[in-house]
Amino acid sequence: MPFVENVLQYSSVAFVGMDKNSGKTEAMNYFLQKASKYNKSIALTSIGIDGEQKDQVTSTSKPEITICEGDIFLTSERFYQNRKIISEIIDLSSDSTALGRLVTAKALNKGKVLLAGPADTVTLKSHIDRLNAIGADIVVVDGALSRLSIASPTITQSLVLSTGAVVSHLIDDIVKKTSYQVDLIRIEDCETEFLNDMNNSKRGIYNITDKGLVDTEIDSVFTLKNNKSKLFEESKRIYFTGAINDSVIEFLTLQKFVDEIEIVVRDFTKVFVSPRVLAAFRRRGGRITVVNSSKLVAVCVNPISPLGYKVSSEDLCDRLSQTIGQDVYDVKKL
Amino acid sequence: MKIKNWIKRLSSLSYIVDKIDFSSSIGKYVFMNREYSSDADELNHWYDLQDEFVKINTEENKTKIESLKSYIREIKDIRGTLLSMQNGAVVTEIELYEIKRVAYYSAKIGEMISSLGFSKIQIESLSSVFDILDPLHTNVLSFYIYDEYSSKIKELRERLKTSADECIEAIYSEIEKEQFVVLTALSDELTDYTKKINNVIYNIAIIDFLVAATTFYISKGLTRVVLSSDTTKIYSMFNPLVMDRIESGGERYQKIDVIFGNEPTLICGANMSGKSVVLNSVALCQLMAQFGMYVVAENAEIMLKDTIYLSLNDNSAIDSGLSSFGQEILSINNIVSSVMDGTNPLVLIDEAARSTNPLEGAAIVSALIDVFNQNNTSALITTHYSGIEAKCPNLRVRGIKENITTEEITLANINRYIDYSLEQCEVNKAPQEAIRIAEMLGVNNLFIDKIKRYIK
Repeated sequence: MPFVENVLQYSSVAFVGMDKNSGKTEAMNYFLQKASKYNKSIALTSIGIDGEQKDQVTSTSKPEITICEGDIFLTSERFYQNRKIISEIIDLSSDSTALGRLVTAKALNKGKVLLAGPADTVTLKSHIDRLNAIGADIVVVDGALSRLSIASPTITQSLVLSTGAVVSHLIDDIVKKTSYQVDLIRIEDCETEFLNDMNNSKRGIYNITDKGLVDTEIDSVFTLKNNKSKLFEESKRIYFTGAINDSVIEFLTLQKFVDEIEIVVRDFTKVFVSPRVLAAFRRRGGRITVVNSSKLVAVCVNPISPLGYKVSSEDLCDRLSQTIGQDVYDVKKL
Repeated sequence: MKIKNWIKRLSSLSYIVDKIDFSSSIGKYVFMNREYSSDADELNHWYDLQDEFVKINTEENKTKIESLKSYIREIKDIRGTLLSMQNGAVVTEIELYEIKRVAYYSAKIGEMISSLGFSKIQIESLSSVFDILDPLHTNVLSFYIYDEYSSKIKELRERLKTSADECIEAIYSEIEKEQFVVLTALSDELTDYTKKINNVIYNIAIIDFLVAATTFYISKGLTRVVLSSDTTKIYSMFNPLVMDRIESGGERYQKIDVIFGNEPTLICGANMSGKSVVLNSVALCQLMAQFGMYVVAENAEIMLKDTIYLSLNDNSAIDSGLSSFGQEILSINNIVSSVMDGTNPLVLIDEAARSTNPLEGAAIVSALIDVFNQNNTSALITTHYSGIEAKCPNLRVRGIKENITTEEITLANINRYIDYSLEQCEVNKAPQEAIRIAEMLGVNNLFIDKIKRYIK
């Protein structure tokens, strides 16, 4: 059973997709069925309900999650009422979603549930911690489309990425786009002794020096150009607490000493940069690192697109795994 | 008026309410909706409850109090569910879980308060409610429609195990139908207990108040009130809002004494001498006493009043479209009419007729004093005006101390040089210390000289 054991080493995992219908739910269902044989206590939830609602709009199959006896799940009151499983309520949170309060329940048989967990990452994190505390060995989070932030290592310890024909009808294209995402997920750790300070800095742009963090007093990445002297005053290692975009990287790429520059971001979810721009920066010697690195435990593919076309599962798995140097799975074939 | 209405009118009360750390939303709700009371028996009952709880809320009992609070935190406000049950609605599985939870934790709370030796409030046992929701007698706090409720459900669930995938949907919808039957029966059975459950929740809300309030009283040194018929005597009165602000700046807060009877009292004093704080704190003491709470003083005797009229510079509403004088005179008119109609209020007016000229202003104040004298109305009125002819007791803030050092005086430390205590004085003579204070605050010298030239 590939990748299941790897995932089970972590206390939380996020399943995220490159796009809708990239096979995230299948990957998750596969994991849950296999994991039930390892005698581990599993808890499940999701971030919000984005994905589910959109599915109802495009009327593709509802991503009901099949869970096994003994699993714990966290979902909203409304979805709890519509479950197809026998389960007992073990907690009712005052945290509320658009679909009511959050119910924690334990499955008493194998059945299907719709998940709608907390809508924001802070609440999600607190529930992940709570579920771990009440005995879940691993908390599995169903990530919705456009909510990559839950894959942040500050929320879940590891992640499983799904991709597939929905991204493009050309295998080349799927590989290119997916490998770039993988590339971002794998951005290496920043080497510094000030990681704690960096995590505690809520906002701003800092220079990392031998002695610690120095606030550049630049408020926003949008004003970098006017504050060039401040930006490099203490060091060429620069920590951005917020997100970075193309114009930030393009500006830094233009500096004479670009090969001395190290950009540090909190984690890969803060990088909103196009492949071309990042490649140019790196070609000229620039470096990018993260404070919290992510553990990509598996990449899964769905070779079928909801639009009806299909790519070769074998080719896709081979090409992608060659490019990213990690095994790639089509869970339908396992 | 209720506490929740008063906190909008008096920011120092709102400050105190925020400091009272309730463990449950129902505790806070019941507290916020407490009515202003002039019933001495009722109030003494509240004071007694708190006296009793202050004795229990000790360092020694800390662990017990902490677990009591943790149990109270688990009590959710389920009055909505109870009400809909009384109206014949069928409860959901989730609502039953909530009821079970209340039954479970109310037992814990009952045990804990009796282990603390508190017997003034009894938490009735909801064990019969719990038993209905715990047919397996496992005494655990989880809930679902147990097989024990219906042999049909049991049988359907058995069938699930052996059925083919395509039949499962149909079986679940049958289960759902049967579950509704069970839920209806449970709702009927539990409806008999709704009144009892409501009582239990109300009593837990009171216990929540007692824990939270007495913890606050002890930390700030509040005291129980003695009710009096003819004099209010508040010794070492303080205002937590102002006190915390001053103490956080490293300065010392001066507690003061206030005594007044069933008659008006004029208070005069320089600018920045704390007159407004006096009125604000008296209002606070009076309100807290009439809401059955301890008061912000070291010792207090208080006369109960039908209501309190405040005309303070606190939260003044400028959006009504009236000029400041228009607003003030209408508010004074309101007070005067009510007093003439026989209400027995406590009236607190900060700088009466402040927004008009001194000549007419002084006349308005004099007339007010006449009305209050005739009706034996307790009133504290601060003023800047001299020449108020009506007769009444006068209090004066002692004001600027004489031994001033050379240290630079700023807004942050000026209170070191002011004696905020009140002393009785014979006649109403407003102190003329505005310029002195302006000088102390370092106002431009040339400007001060100009001012002085105009004073004859």
